[in-house]
Amino acid sequence: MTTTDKPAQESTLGSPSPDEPGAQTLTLSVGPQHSGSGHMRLIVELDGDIIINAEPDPGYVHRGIEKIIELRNIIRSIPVIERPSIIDASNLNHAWVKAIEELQGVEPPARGQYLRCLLNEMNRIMSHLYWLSIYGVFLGHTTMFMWPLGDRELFIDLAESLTGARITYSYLVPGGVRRDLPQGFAEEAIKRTEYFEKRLDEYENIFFKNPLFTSRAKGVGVLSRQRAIELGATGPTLRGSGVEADLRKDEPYAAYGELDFKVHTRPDGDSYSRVMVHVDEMRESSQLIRQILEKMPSGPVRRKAPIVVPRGEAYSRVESARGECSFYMIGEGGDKPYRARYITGSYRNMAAISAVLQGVRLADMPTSWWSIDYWPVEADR
Amino acid sequence: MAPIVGKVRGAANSLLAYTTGLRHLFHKPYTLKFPQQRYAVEKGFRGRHLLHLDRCTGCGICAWICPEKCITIVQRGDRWFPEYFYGRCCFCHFCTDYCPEFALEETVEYDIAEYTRDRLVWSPERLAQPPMKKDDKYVFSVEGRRGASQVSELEH
Amino acid sequence: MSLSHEREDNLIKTLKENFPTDIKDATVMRRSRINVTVAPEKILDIALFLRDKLGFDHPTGVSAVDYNRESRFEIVYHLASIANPAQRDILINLKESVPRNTPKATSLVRIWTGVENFERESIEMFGLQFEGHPRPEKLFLNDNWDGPPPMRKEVRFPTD
Repeated sequence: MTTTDKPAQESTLGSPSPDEPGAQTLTLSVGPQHSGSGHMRLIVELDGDIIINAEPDPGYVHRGIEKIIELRNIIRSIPVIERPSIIDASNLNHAWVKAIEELQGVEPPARGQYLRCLLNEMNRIMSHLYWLSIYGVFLGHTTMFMWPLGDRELFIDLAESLTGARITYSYLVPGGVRRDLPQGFAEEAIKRTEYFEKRLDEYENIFFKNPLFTSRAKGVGVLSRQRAIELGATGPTLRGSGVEADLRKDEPYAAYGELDFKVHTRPDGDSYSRVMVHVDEMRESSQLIRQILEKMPSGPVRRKAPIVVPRGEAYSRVESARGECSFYMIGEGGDKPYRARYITGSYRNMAAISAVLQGVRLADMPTSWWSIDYWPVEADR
Repeated sequence: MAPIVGKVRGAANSLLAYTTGLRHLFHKPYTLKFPQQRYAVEKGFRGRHLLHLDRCTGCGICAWICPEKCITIVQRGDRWFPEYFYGRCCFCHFCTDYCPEFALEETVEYDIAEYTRDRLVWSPERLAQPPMKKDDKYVFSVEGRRGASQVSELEH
Repeated sequence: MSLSHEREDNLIKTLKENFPTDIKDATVMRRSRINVTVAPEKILDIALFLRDKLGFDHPTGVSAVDYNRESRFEIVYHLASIANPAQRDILINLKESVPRNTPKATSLVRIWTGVENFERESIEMFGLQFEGHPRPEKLFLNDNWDGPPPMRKEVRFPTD
């Protein structure tokens, strides 16, 4: 093929008249083959290398979980509920059992509540560590990829001895939890959390003070406080924009009302703030684990609860690692819910992606949008 | 003055990152060379099922509660037993929890991959076999200055 | 934790005083959960009042429920408040019913930007129509999906 016949029209930059608005922009499709996008597609409109518009296009991992749980009884739904975010399985499971318990009027025993919190906090750390390691991939920082994934093993191991499974626990059931603490769990957990906090100090030295990271995160991808609220953002994204909202404090569920912890916020709303909120939360959760083990009451861990969803409505809200996870459940007396609406943190934070990416350079795109902690599978459900 | 301060701080922080990283050259690795070294799971791990043939009444509650429908009830003589298809099992062990006769039990055997799909169907007789004993097990350990590493279970 | 529903009752009272005819039903479901059923024509005014006067500025989701036996869809807006720290835990379920054969509702994207994706999901999963929605396109389903709206009750799947 010769290029001499039609020289100008073949240009990839499209229209030959550059005065027309939008003539010089380039639309780029990122994903869905996980090229720094997760299992979703980002349709990015570029002017030079500045993003002027970015639209998330989710749905590549949509599995119709809301329909599936309408067709199964409430115990059989538990493994399905966990699947959208297996690295944060316990928190999602908690929202499910909480909705059922609200309808049934069953209150789990105190020890069961503490064990739930224990696993929730372990899950929060594991989920944040996984997120941090992928952040390292997007940053091109191999050590940041390896270390958090390795340290995640500390808590996976603990969870395994507590529940019998490494990630998908199915540990919380209506009425309590399935197992009591194993022998020697508390000593092991204290040893590991203390070691983990030492590791977090090392992370501080190698990652968070590192100019390689700070120069690419500070001031990049700013989400203002007002915008975060009106978009309905939640979890670390909302707290990274300076809103002190955490359901564990605002609406204390399980044993969180009796525990003493801080809600960490950062005022700037940029990538760096969101990352540091995650890191502060990990430290807080690590201390919470020790506190839970210390305050753990004795007694039974599970109360009898029927496999029935009574007639009525319930709305459960749980602070999962990625923000509020909630179930709007309507029962009609059978063993299945009539309707169970499943709203996860990532689904709500999806709206924040376009807001964050506006005006960011293309090279900063992966790190900026990943700082929202958007998990495509959890959003698609 | 301010740009210089920023540059010096940046250089210092870079150096800090390097030294922190280099110190970890002398730590033991986390990872295991899997087929030779095996990870030792704790007692209570939800691995494959162990079926006590003498206790099982064939009531079928396990098949009813199974979220993945991987259990079928099959006939052996005049009795009925569960048969597992491990290609679908998600190891939630609700079947173990809900068994009224305590005929099911979790085992620490987790390495049950097979080359063909039909080998993943476990008959009641195969489920009744006690789990295999494996040597050379390693556990994850956290101690003092050595940090987190894998150590042999014998040493532990 | 007190068992009185004082804050919830006050909110309902304020709503009923301002919209005496348009609020069909307002109940306290349980502690810090309020159900408010409104007339579909007036939902924009009530939503604006909730956002600006009562401080419910944080949308936490939109659900659609298919009551096929009563031949209606219920659209539920779940609203929380960030502006007012004293009612952070309170969640209002703002409900409206639309008939099943003409499922038309008013979009509330102009009140809460965050409900856009949720309304889009209701459009594709239940076949609802939201007037004034900026992008009434498919969100999770394939663009070329031509089957019935999958979350409707009459759609059954053979596996379960």
